[in-house]
Amino acid sequence: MSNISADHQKLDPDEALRSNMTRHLFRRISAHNSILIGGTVLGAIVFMALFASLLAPHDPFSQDLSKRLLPPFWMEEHNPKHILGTDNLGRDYLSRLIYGAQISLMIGVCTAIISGIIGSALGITAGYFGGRVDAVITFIITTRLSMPIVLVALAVVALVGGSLHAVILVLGFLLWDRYAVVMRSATQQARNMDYVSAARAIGCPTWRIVLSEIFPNVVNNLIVIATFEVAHAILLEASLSFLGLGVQPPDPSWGLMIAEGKEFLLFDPWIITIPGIALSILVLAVNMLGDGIRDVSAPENRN
Amino acid sequence: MLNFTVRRIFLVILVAFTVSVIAFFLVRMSGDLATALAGEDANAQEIADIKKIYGLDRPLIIQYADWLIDALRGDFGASLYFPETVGELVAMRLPTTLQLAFSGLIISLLIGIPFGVISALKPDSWIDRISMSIAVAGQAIPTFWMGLMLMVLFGLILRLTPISGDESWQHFILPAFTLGYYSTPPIMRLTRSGMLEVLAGDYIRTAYAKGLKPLRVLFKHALRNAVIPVVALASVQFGHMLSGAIVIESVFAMQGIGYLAWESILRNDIAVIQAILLIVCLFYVGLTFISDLVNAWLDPRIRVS
Amino acid sequence: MTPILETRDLECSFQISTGMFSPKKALVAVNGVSVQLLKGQVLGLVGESGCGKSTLAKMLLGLQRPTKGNILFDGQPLEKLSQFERAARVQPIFQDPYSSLNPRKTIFEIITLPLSVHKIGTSRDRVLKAKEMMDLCGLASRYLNSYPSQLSGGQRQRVAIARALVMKPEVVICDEPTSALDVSVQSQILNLLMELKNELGLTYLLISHNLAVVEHLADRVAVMYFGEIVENEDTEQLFNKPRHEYTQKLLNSVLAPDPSLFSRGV
Ligand SMILES: Nc1ncnc2c1ncn2[C@@H]1O[C@H](COP(=O)(O)OP(=O)(O)OP(=O)(O)O)[C@@H](O)[C@H]1O
Ligand SMILES: [Mg+2]
Repeated sequence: MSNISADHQKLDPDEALRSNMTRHLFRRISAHNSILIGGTVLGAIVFMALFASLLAPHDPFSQDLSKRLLPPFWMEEHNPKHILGTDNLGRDYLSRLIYGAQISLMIGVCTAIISGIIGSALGITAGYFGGRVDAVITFIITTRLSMPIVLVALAVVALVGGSLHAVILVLGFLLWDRYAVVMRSATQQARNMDYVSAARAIGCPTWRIVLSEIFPNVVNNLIVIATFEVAHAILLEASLSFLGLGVQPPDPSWGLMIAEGKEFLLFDPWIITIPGIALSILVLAVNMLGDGIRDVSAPENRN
Repeated sequence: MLNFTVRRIFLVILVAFTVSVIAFFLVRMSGDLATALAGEDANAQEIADIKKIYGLDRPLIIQYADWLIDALRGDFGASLYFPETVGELVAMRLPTTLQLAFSGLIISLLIGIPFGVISALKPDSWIDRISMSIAVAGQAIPTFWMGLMLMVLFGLILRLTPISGDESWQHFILPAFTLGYYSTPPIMRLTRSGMLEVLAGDYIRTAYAKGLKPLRVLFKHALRNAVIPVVALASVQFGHMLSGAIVIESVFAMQGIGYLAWESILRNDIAVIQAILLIVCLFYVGLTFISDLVNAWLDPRIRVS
Repeated sequence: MTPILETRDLECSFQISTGMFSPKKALVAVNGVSVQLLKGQVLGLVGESGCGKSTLAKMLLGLQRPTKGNILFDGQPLEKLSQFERAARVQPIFQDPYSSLNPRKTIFEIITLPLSVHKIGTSRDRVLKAKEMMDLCGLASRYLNSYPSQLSGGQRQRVAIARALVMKPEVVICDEPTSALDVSVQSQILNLLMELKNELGLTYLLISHNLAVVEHLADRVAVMYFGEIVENEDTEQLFNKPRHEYTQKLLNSVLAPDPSLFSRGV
């Protein structure tokens, strides 16, 4: 424990400044690295999703019961035609995985767009108008935050019936809170700037002030939150599908693939390992990209 | 502070009320209660009779008021599938979920706080970077998959823990770890930044200057101050765990309210869903309230706004 | 001479809530203010921080609604004018040129925003107009497509002045137009303001903490104290024979004015 006091004595101003600078440097570098790594991996997955029909070796839906549960390439008895093996209905696992990327990305992006529109609209309105409007919107945000997402999403998906569209809409209407909170405070800051007063003194209509004076100054927050919400939505879709109330069979959602593989995990644990790793890599890539963008745009705001 | 507390209590009541409205109408829209009660093959006359008996032909507002008043008395109606009343059912299942969430919370605190402290003592050291990296990576892993993988590894391959169920404390190890792991990163980050802030403060320097023992300074002064916001966060995280329990309980087949909720949603057992939704939301509201109070007590600026 | 802008018993109060159960309190920021701006003149407005100067300015600009009283423009009540019509007559110059220019817009967009809001001229006209205004305000036209972050504080304030004048307003409200600038730049901007005033026949309300500035530039000076105008006199009269106790204190509290500010003797 003498280290602590030693550390402490080290804190002369010069030293502190230097360590602060290296820390900043380190953050900058690691921010760029995480954008690079996250972006590359995400790019690869997007590419895979876009060209799924060209890349997938088989039809992801075609069943062949004679080829049930073939193991992947690293195990004995694997079939070279099915690199990642086949599922319990004899469908090619690699092809399902490739098509599954489409579902995850689609859900992530569409949800982030819907919730981004709802959350920004609420947040900017609250931040710009303040007063009663702000009180009402803050109340709506508080109410939303006191509802557990998974439970509400499950109940609502059960109500409208599980499907890709249902999941997108339900998550889109649930995941707007972070946008609203951040956009609200960013707008509060922006609206106190004199350029807003100047625009008002010019006679600029409110909608135009919001769109051309406020919005461009708060939009960078939006991009950072959007990446995190994409990751959030992908994970939630996987959970919903895993619980049987998200994307429905035979669509190859990664969460659903894990659910379908669950009963075989005793003898064939690889069947849940593969889609789980795919999910984790995708979410990690998106998170790294978001972390990197946040650190580059405002390195002081870390933590 | 008193003023703030009173204001917050008003807000909490208002939010709780709104949430109860949402819980009622959301679930009510999800299915026709009369048809569910009468059975799939009931004819129109039977359904009409059921509606009369259960008062389902009255305006929704009145039904809501009725439901709320009964719920406040602890009477949540009858389940379609279980012989017990919904109240009994929830009371029976709730302890499992609370135990699970509580163990999860303890685990996340036991991992998060020490690692947060170490990271703060040695910022940007390898241990700081590694624990932060694991935290980032860990948040990318879906909970249910993590649970399944742990089940395979410790239950099936190593045979160290039971695979599923909730009969003994050993059954809680894997689920609690899975649940707790997910809440660890925010706790770790908050401990770290809190410690960094406290350690840079003047009175810690003074304490060192006075020649107090480093360990004593660390635990008596620094940690105690850094940990209070973590308490506030932990209270919110506990709420998240109650909701996360739905997924974890269904992975490990634990008979808590999360599993009950899932079953009931799949079977459209309306009274049960409403009850659980209301109860979990109320927990959330209450826990957030506690966290707000702790934060306001810590930071006077919050009280004013 | 009829005043071009005049306030009559103008009042503005804010409702301040002090707690959930205590009733809201009214904070009277501006209390029964009657001032007159004569065409082509400069009215200085001085007073300690928080006495309501900016609130008065905001009301004149239509950014804050008065709770009582009237504002007359050329004898006409200003409420009769829409914000649109008012904007063409009264324009502001703010204190902080770092906050008054939108960092996401080019200088061209900033200067011509009034024109585009009021749908004046084609886009080619606007480019010419922007160049003309920049020239008038001593700003090289190569900055047309720059962003505010590429400009110095003094240059930014010139942009703000160009924006305020592009619609040819009759009255300009300058709320501490130089206090955020370097001393060396302050005099340039003040000189520019006075040149523009003479050239375009403008009328100024000049709010300043710097009594030396007011003494040199203003024709009349109004002294504000806790939301009220306690003295309103010709500049010379006020500085030589302050009548109100507060004015005397204000004048005494100020150190000798900084002569370097007025090298060119306005
Ligand atoms: N929107 C508002 N809500 C509540 N109070 C306000 C508001 N705007 C101004 N005030 C109050 O009105 C009073 C006058 O403020 P004002 O900004 O007009 O002062 P000022 O004379 O311009 O001061 P300074 O010289 O510091 O700029 C202050 O007490 C201020 O706190
Ligand atoms: Mg002011």
